[in-house]
Amino acid sequence: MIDNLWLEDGSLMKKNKNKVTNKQLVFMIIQAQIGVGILSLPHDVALVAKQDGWISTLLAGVISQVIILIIWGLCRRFPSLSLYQILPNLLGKVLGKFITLSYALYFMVTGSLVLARYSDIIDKWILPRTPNWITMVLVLITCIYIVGAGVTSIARFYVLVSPILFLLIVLISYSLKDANFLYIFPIGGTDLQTIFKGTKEAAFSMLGFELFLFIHPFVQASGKGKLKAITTANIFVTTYYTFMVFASLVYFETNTDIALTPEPLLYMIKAYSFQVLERTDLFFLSLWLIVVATSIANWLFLSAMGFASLFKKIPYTSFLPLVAGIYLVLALLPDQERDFESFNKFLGPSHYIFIIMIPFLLLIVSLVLSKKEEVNRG
Amino acid sequence: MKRKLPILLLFCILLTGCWDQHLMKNAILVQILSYDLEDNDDFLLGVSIPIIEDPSGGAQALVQSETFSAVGLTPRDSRKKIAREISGTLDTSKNKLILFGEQMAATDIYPSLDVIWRDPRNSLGATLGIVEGKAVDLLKIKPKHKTNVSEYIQDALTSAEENTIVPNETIQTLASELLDPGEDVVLPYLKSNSKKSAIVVGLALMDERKYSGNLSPQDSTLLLLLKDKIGKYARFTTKVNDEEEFDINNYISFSVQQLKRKLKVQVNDGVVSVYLNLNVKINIEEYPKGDVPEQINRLNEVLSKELTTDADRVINTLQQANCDAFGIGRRLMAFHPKTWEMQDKKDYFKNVKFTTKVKVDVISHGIVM
Repeated sequence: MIDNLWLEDGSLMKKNKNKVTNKQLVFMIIQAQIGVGILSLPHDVALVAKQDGWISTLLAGVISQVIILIIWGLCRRFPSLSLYQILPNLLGKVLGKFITLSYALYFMVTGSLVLARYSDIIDKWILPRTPNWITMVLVLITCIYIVGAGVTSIARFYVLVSPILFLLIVLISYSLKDANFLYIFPIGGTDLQTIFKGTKEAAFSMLGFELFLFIHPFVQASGKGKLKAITTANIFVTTYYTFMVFASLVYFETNTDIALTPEPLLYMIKAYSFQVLERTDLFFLSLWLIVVATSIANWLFLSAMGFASLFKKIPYTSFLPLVAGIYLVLALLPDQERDFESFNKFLGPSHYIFIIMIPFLLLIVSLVLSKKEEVNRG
Repeated sequence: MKRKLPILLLFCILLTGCWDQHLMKNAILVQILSYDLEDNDDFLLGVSIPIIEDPSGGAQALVQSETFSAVGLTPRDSRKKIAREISGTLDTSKNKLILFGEQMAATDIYPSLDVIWRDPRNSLGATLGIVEGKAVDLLKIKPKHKTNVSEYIQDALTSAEENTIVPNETIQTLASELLDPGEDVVLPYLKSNSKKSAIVVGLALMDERKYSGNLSPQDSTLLLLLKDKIGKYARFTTKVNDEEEFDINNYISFSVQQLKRKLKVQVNDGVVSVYLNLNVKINIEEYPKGDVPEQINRLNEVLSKELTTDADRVINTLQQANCDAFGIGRRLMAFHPKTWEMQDKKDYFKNVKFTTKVKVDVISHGIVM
């Protein structure tokens, strides 16, 4: 066992108190990847790739698998260090701390955007008259509570709420009875370039697997076991997304109709009422909040950890209220659709930098310098 | 206690009220909307709202209905005017039906539906219908056996759905078909009968978003069978004999038990041909002349011929109305995209060559011969 060897850094709590099993890792990654984005994903993809949007989504899954391999390759060289500890280790103290801060800020902005989009959907679909800050504060309090309890509790909570994901599958499958499967033909009717453009849209919804960079030291499994877990999660999410995109494409006319509906999946659910349930979308959204909360919790956790690792001997939990406060302020900033667009434009390149470029460069640096964690197998 | 205090305080702030409450006691639920165009092109909105009278004497509450209407620029504008007229908040979230007057439907039904899709509180489960003459007049009828007009009209439509006269569609399933250039919708066609009752008189054919023709109830049933959309029952009455003195003996009534449809689209040199084959297995419900087993082959033959002629007539009407109810354009887009590119996007349906064949098989004839 490699217990507690790395603890001199002091920024993380004792490892044996924060264990995550390999199965829990699968659910953690799934919950981190699936969030608020899926409700609008079919619209975003179909705007670009039309009836071939589902191919784009599949390709996005393949691309994230490649990135996952890079991330895993880096983590395997430092099996007991999270990215926040790898950074100063590889790049020296000053540069390492600078990039750590950038990561924390990046996660903060991404998390705020998710929070803002969540509250935007609640505002549009359920509670138009309730002030947005109320819904945001409520979800942030919940997230602070979840994240404050430590990695093990987070993992357990994520496993617990995962069945909600199947509810969406059930409801969407039901609405397929009114689908027109001719809408997805001709398959591949758009050219390759268009499909790849659609992939770019879909790829943003796949984000979340970067969580692995930070929690892999807590996972009780071998390097290969971890890769299996994270790949399972990615395959699940890709299949899930592809199904959702496919269902929306056969339900809505792929040129005009889906372009008119920013949240196609909610629309599909809204159209059906059951004996005791008139507006199924309300019922669904109130459960879906939990899935969104898990992704917000996830980013809250990552940014708080980032800040904590800048200072010695302060547990990340102390940062949670402060970070959540900044989330709230940032999320209250955009109040028009145009603001979301500029928010996204700003974030677009930073996704590439933080999720692909930096881990990739770190992997190369560690290979070139042949730097690697000395594992003391006692 | 010290740690619980802030939580308690938070509860006090967050759980005391709700901004988005809609109390049922203040809501006036609209059950049917009607959209009309006045002669001077003004928009006329009609709403039918139920009025529940207190059961002061009797045991059961009596539900009556009242119809309001207002002229405005758009549906929302008219709604504002009606809202001023009644006490309470007008609530369309339980709306079940939207009726278009003939004149309104002949222009474009899509723009007036925008508000239904845009407002999250509106019900997408509502269905659409087209009324001969003015739609609001249908809301004003006084049916004898039912005091609530909206319920009455809905029941009429439900039974028409069961009898395969109108398709089972909601505003959400219609949305895609309305927007699809390669498919057109058919909607229930209603009319009021001497201000006393409402009857479903078949299907209104739409050319894209415009009303352009209609079908009789029996032809509507046949069209729905050709579209492979059978309801609970599908009944026909056809003439099969000529020689009988007593006219009633010349007719046969039957219901469709099983249905098999094949639709094939072929393209030859840019000419689109459609092969439509329909196999129906029927149960004879009424044949006063009697002795079915003896004549079974002749009946099969005569009925097949008869229904094929009817189907040809239905398709002819569709083509005249330019209503692509089969979604031939969508099939072209899907499987022959190059041909679709060459087609006239508006009038392509008129140039489609149909070859229709209906085959009838008598499989049962009730409990007498």
